Amino acid sequence: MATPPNQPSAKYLEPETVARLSNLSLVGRLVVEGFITGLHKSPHKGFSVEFAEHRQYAPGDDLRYLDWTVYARTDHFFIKQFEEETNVKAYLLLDRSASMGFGSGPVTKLQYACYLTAALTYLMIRQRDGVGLVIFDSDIRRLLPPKSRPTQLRAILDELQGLEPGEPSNLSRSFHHLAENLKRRGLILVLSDLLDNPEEVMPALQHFRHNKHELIVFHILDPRELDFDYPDYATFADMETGRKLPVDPAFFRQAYQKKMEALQARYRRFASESRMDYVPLNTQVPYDRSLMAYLSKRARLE
Amino acid sequence: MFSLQNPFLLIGLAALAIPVAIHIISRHRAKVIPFSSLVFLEESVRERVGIKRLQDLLTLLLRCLLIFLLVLAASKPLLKRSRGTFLGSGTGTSVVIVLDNSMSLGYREGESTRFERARGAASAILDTLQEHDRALVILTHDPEGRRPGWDESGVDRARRTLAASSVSSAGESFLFALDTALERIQEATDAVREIHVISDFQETAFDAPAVLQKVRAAGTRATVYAISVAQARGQNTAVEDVSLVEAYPLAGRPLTVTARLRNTGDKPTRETVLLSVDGARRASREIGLEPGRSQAVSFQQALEQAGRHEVEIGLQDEDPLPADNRRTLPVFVHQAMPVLVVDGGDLRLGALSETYYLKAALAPATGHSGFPIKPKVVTAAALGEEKIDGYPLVFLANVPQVDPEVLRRLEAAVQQGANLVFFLGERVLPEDPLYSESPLFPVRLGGVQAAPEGSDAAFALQVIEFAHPAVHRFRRGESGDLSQVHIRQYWELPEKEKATARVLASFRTGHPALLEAALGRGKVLVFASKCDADWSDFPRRPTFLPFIQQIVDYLGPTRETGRDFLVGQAVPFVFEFRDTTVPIAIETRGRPVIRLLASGRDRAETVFAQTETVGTYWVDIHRPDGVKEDLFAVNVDPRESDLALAESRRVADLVPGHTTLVAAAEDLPATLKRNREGIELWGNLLFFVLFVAVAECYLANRSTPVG
Repeated sequence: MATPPNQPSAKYLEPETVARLSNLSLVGRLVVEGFITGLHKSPHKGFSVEFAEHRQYAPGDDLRYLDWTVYARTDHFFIKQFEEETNVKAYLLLDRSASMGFGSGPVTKLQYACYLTAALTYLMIRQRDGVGLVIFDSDIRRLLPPKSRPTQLRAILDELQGLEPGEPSNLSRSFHHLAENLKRRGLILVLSDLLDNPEEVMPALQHFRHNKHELIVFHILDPRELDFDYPDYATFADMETGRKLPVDPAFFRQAYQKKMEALQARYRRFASESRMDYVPLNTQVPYDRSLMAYLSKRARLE
Repeated sequence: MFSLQNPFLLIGLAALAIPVAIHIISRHRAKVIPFSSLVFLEESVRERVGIKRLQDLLTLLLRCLLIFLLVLAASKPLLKRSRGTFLGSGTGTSVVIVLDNSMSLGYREGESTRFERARGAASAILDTLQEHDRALVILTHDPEGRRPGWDESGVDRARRTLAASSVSSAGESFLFALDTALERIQEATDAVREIHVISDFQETAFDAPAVLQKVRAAGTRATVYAISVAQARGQNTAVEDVSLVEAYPLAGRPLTVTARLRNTGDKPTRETVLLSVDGARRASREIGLEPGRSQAVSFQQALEQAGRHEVEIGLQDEDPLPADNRRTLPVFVHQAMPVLVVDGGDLRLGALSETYYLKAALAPATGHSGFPIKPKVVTAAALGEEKIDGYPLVFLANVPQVDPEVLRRLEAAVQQGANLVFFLGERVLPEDPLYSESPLFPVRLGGVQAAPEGSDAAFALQVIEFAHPAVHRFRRGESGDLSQVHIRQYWELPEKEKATARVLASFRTGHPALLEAALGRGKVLVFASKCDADWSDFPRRPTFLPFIQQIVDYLGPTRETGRDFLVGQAVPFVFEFRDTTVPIAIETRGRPVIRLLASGRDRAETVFAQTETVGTYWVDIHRPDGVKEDLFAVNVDPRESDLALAESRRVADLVPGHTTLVAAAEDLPATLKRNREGIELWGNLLFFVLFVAVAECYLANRSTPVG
């Protein structure tokens, strides 16, 4: 799955590169194209989004899906098969809580999540999947119902543009509200740092599964949140509560790392038991990994 | 005691504030870093904050210690044993050297004697002193009896004393000199005060409990160095004692000279013992001696010439300690011994007189003018005409009474050393002052015990104290058996108040037969029966003659006490002359005649203190009543010959808490330098700094693990 580093378009899979672009539309397109270019070179044949298969026209087929380009060259009628199979409705659940504003490098978790959302939206729209957007912090702040029209891309990108971190997170409340309101079965993609009480978050995620939704949880963390690699004595201020704690990071590093590893392990185990996909990410991980996770899930849904 | 060479650098201790300040400020000036959520961090802190605080505190302490040690090391601290002030020592040094010059220091070990080494050590100590320092040398035995005190001569006088010092033959313990040294050092005002005791530290030197206790209790602010100059116990044979068995040596009669020799070393030895009289060798004998054992050697020798003789027992071969290889015995040989026999009866009765047998027993070789015992028999009535104090021994045989004036003279003579023997009988009068009041008669006269008439029954004698010299030859029957003597009558002799008499022989009835009592310098013997054949068969028995002869041997003139003096001991001369000056001339071999004058109001007295030379001293006493010859010997103290060395623990405890033991004199300069100048501690401190720095790194690393 690895994208060759010498591929010019592959650089847009790197979050740091993407962060220099201000146009989210451009971000989505560059990321996805870079990703797809890489896929063509990959050994995973037969897993194309653009022309997975052509089949010969048969009477009764919708002429909208006739491939005129092929007809012009070959004088035969071919129908693009994928277009007829697109019926997935996906919801992108974007966490904009205060903690998502944290970033030790050029990209905050929220920015990373926004770019990833843009890329996923672009990919989904391109595949004619219906895609909706839910933005939440302590509760749901914005909800765009899923649509597969190209205008949906613009609508979503407009929501993402200039998105700032909001209030302290309350994942369980947002998830429960949403689960109750989503009537139709679909694919839920959660983009969050999950920095909330796991005892409450897990049942809320379970709620989606209970309603027959498929789930991909992108657990986005900053590398410093994982390794706590601060060299000097410092006072740490909680971005959600404002509490301050003066500590010698070196002394508590190991204990902290173990707790974070335990958290991830717990979600991984939970996801496995609940048959949902769990994708641990940090803000330095290229986007192709997330996109591949989506496509893999998408493929299984067919 | 600590002192600092650069005390002003202590100001650097202010730097201790640095780690404390960093510790405090780092908390207050910590950078604020926004962080997504403190939930997991808070949990970690809750778990480990206790350990963290402890580590922080330890690290802070270690850093403070590091600075403290660095500042201290930079101040160049000195560890000094002698007293000084914390911020530097005083300038002067006062030293008292106790130099043991007793006889045992003459022991030769290798190339040099112990005393030579001791003097070398003392000289080395003086060499360490500066011009403004002060020193005293106190000899354990100063021939002139000096006890030096401080003066302005600095070290010079100590050097002179040292140069003039020599090993003596005296055996005085160094403890007395140390006692003086402690007094002197108390008078010193210098900051550094030292007492150096240079000795071989014989075990016997500690046998002075009173002064040892005083020295230990004295306490001092000085450092006492005990410097041993003895390398090992060594090898030595000592002539410990020489004595003459006979109390009244007579010309021509064999004399028994007994010497006791002791091997005070640690190896068996074989010695040839020589007897010399007046410098001429007379006899020799070989003996073997095990370590620590003593053995007596006897020589029988007759001295033909009456007068004063020097008898010397010596070893043929010299050992490492030659001073105790010989010992002299002064012997005054009498030409004859006059004995006064007072007959209480009638001398005209011849063989029936009271004293017929007694006289025969005293001078059995009648007609032989050379026999040394010269008895003179007088009646009680004629006693007043005799010069009683000219007789060393007087017999009173059945004397009923004596004239009060005669009694007084008799008492005075006994007080002065004459001896008296009573034989009793039917004539004695119990109420006479001689028997009832005079201290001459130590018991009372009870009644006469008589065996039944006509029968063969008699009272048998039995000796109680065979060890007594008057009867000891009857012990193994050498001189016959006294129990064979039949006594038919005797006087009961009950005890007298305020008088003690020792019973030497008794009758089977339990009543005493022979008693002894002391009076003044003389002795009194009382026999409960008669000395003729009326009351017993004793005079006719073969035991009578040796009995009387033994009494004569035993009761010769009482030996003047103290005729054998130790080196350094004062010899007193006391004469009972009022307002009279008695010139005395004293001579010993190789030294000029020393003349003294004994004088005094109540009695003439003086003391001869120049007893440094071992040997016999001839004395001529020019009394108003004529010149009297005397002699005495000066010998070494046999305790000095004991080479057993005191345990080092005992030496180190000499002045508890202040004594530094220096086992070898060669180590002394280094020890002194170290103690006076102190031990440079900065090197040790830097080592500690290194140690603390490593500990600090370790601890800091633990709180800041890599990765």
